[in-house]
Amino acid sequence: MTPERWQQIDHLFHSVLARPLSDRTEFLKQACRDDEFLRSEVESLIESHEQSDSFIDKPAEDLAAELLNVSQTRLRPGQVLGHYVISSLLGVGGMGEVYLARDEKLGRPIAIKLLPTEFTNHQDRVRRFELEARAASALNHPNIVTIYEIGQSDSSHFIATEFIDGQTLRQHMASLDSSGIDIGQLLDIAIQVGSALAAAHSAGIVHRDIKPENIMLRGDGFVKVLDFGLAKLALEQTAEVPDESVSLSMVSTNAGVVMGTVRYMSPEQAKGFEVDSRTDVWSLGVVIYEMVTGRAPFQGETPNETITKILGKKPPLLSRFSEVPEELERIVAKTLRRDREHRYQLAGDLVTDLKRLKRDIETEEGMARTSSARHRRVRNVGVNKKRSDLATAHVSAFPTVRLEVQQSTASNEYLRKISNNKKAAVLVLAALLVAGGFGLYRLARRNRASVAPTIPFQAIELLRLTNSGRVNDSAISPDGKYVAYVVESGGKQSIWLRQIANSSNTQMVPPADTQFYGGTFSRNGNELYYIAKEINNSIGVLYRVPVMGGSPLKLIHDVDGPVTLSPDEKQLAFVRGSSTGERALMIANADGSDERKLASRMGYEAFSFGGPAWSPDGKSIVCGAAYTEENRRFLTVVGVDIGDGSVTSLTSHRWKAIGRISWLQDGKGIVFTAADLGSGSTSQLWYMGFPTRQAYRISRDLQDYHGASLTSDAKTLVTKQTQTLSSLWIAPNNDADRATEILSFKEDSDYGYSYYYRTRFSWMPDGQIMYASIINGIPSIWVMSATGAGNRQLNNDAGESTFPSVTPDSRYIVFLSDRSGFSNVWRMDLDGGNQKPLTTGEDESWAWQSPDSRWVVYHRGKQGKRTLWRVSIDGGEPEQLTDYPSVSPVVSPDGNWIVCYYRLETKAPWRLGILPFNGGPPVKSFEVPPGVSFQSLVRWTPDGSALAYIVSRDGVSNIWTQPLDGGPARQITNFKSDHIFWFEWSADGRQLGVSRGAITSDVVMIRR
Amino acid sequence: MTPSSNEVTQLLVAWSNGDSSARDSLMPLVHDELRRLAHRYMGRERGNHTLQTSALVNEAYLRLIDQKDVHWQNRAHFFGIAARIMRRILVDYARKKGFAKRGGDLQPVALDEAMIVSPERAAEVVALDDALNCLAKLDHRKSQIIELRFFGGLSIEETAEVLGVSAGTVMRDWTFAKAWLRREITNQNHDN
Repeated sequence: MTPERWQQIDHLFHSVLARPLSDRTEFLKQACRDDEFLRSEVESLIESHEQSDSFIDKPAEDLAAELLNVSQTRLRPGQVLGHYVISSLLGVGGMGEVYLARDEKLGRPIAIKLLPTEFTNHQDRVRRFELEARAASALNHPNIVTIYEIGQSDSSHFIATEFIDGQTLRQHMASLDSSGIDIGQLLDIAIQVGSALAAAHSAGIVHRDIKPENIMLRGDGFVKVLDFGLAKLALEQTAEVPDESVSLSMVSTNAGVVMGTVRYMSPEQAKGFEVDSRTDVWSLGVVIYEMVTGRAPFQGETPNETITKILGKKPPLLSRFSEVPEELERIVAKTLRRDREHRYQLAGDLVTDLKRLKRDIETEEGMARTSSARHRRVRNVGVNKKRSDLATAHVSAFPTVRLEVQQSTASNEYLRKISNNKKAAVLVLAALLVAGGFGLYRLARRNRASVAPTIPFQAIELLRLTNSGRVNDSAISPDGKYVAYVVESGGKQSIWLRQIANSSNTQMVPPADTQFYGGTFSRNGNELYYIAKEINNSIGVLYRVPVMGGSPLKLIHDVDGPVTLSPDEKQLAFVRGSSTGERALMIANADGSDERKLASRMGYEAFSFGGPAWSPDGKSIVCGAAYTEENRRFLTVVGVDIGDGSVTSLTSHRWKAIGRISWLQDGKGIVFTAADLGSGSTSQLWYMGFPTRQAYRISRDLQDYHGASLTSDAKTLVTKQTQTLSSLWIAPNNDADRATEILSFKEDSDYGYSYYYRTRFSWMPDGQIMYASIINGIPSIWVMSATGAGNRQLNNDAGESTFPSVTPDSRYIVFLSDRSGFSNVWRMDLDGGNQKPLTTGEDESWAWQSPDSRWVVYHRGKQGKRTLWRVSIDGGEPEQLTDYPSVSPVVSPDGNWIVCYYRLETKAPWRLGILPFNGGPPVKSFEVPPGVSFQSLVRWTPDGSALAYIVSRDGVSNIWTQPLDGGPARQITNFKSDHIFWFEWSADGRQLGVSRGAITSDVVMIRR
Repeated sequence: MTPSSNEVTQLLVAWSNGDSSARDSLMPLVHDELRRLAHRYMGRERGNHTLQTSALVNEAYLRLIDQKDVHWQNRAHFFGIAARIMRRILVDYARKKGFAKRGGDLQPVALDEAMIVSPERAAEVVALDDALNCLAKLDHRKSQIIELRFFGGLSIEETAEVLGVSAGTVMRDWTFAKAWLRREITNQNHDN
């Protein structure tokens, strides 16, 4: 077969798959014409695909397991070990085989654990293990398993312990049905495990391997923790280097850990650091989390991915899976703090909190009892019934007394409520598909050892400094003592100062209707430079404020990007844009005087606003800069000479976005945030060394980072981390209170502006919904029914396809695609075929159709100025509608008017204007209502009598309407949380679809 | 870390830099380590634990490679090699069990005599290996994707990283290659 033939088959195969089932045969027939071979090839492949059940979907792991297993255990029933007679095999784990045996002397059943021989090669280590295990056992704690003997028979070491008649927590969880675990039982288990740990810790013993397999639930309700000290023995014995240096993590030394328990590892364990009692607190937190949600908080496809998540990701809230008391959410969050200094320091404190919560739930029950005795009885009958069903069916380990005591109305409520994944949406588009996770944050050294530079932050500790999710900008002082950050709340922004040593936060600049960004500390850390841009005004003003209190001093008017200070701090530099499309790298004295232009670039070759960095030797400034080559735009890092303003490209690496840059004070490299070219790539941390000028990605994870600010010792950096959750809701008959969620997306980044365009969905005339999704790695266009069923992909092409809508006459889909290198308006047939660009400009977006299906209105950017245009649905020469800055046009239902954001002068505040469909100046003009963010959707209500828009207050958006006749504005939805990204009425105007969700951004501190 | 870690690291770096002979020297070293590790697991792991191929490969990597001297791309190369080796080990094993249609000679395998793999499973793997060889001739990348995913236990993203293509491409190729392989194997069975 020729390669061309093969490609043809491949291509057609995917084209057919993209079609709805019913159209495939016809489509294939058309596509193949009389090429019978091609048709039968593709047909048989499609048939094979349809039957693909689980064919090779799972890695060859079961085979490998079979391959590597032995079929025999080491002891057989009847075999004698000392004065014990083996009865049966109870189980096998990473730490050895466990048998039920009989103590012939005392005539009682016992359990025998046979240790793997490689654990027991060193006598002295076995002795130390014995000491520790015995010490734990000697505590005589009711929740710690009692050890009778640690002995040796032939070459086998064994541990004889009390026999626990029950099941492991793992088995118990596996036996639960979808109603999940009862909160009372959950708390009871957690409290008992915590008590065991507290007792052991006070005797200086750390368990190191708390997991559901090591927690036994006995029939009478007692919980027993197994295997104290064993994890340490395993760790020591399998390490083949004499010293346990930090470079050897547990992953590399203990196969058993790799195989089974990565999920319960604490960050310090994963990094191979010395562990202490707080590691057990973390692992217990993981176990609690799993009891609530049915899944471990950090769970990757591979152990590597799991570890990446442990080191870098905050797990989803418990409340995403189940209804839980807020207090439990808080407790679990406190056990899972990445920095152990911020965790519960003592297991005892955790137990105290758990006990208090349990008591509160019981008190609630008591109150319910006194207030309504009759109800209580009725309910309790229900409780008992339900409970006894459960007990016989599943919870044989917990049938009796303790449960009777625990029973409470409140806990019974939770019994019903805690059910795994009950809230899960119809379809969760897993971020896993787009997400990487190779690197464990442990990036790289250069190949040639002789010139290997030290890349900072290879092994890092990541600490979240804020949890509000509403942080916009962050900077760290050169001495690492302070972090300044911007918080958005109630539509206002304020600047805060955090003292790292004592975690205190002080407000530096009070809340204002202003956007603050570009925070930059002076080298002594006493002053902070920042830029303030009033909402709806695009002129940035540079201020300087004393960190320890004082009034901000206005320095320079019209500053667009963050500033950077010269090494002697006598000068500063920044990027200033102008309406001509010019972006200049400006230099001024530190007091704002003597401004001058050092270098200037235009349009698609402009400097980035991300934030330049002045080199420590004072001779140059590095900055992001755009280039255009063969119609493809990209950014790279350039150096600008202070002497003559000449610009040199520093690396051949290309990015699609470059954020703020920071120098290492020794001048050996820069750290910055940037997003690689290619759809779907997130903004990550990068390092570029000098003189090699090689760029390396430092972070390789699922998050999105913006802006790098470094301390002078280059040991700590702060950056902003962003996550987005969004979902689509449909409200029938316009009754927003009855909105239901039909689809949810989770993304660990906001993808900058493109995210915004991808949140657009649209109703099709037949009532289906069309939307853009990145489930396959590249934003492409999908269709589903209004119940969320029948999702299918329509197109699958290079480049991002976004912003889809269907012409009212149902002939075409209009969408945006950047496959030419620039964003243009495209159209295709309803089945995804016949794709055709309608425009060929440089930067076009926001495609809106006229109700007669004849025109598409859009805005087009040229040299930084965006104006409105329209193009016929059949293509042809576009017509310009406005010559003043105007964006986001929406056509009225009667087709006579367009509403858009506009301003008549560059840098004047944006307003809303209504202009005739044929173009010209606005005939009606409004202020942008408070709480409406620039460029967010403003559209007509279905009857055309009012404008509808999104008002966001304190992180919560709702839709409001403003009648055009001047009547009062009215709120038409009543959501209590989350942002609204997009909304649209169905063609008949009777259903309202809303895409909403949360974008959270927090400051993270990364230490190496 | 094993005594040969320096050597292995250098070979890996050399290979990543384009020295293809280094790859040939690297193969047996990684192969031996994987077998050695597999052996070690045998004493410990039993049926109620699922052994993860990727975990095995990962541990081999951590043991063999001196982390501070390599680049993440080297790591990707290593995973590529390891997947290839896992394929060999597993397919050899399946063939040698004597259940395979071809090449079965009832010899015990080196790893362990007491292993049990169902005849169906062994035959499946051998058939897959044959079909994969055919696929490699038509479309090398697609065969690599199957190898990395199925035998190496790599995720879509990791596979994309190893091959230097986008995750979307891996998804596309994976879908096609699976359909193709399934068809080939089914046809083979009918032919016989």
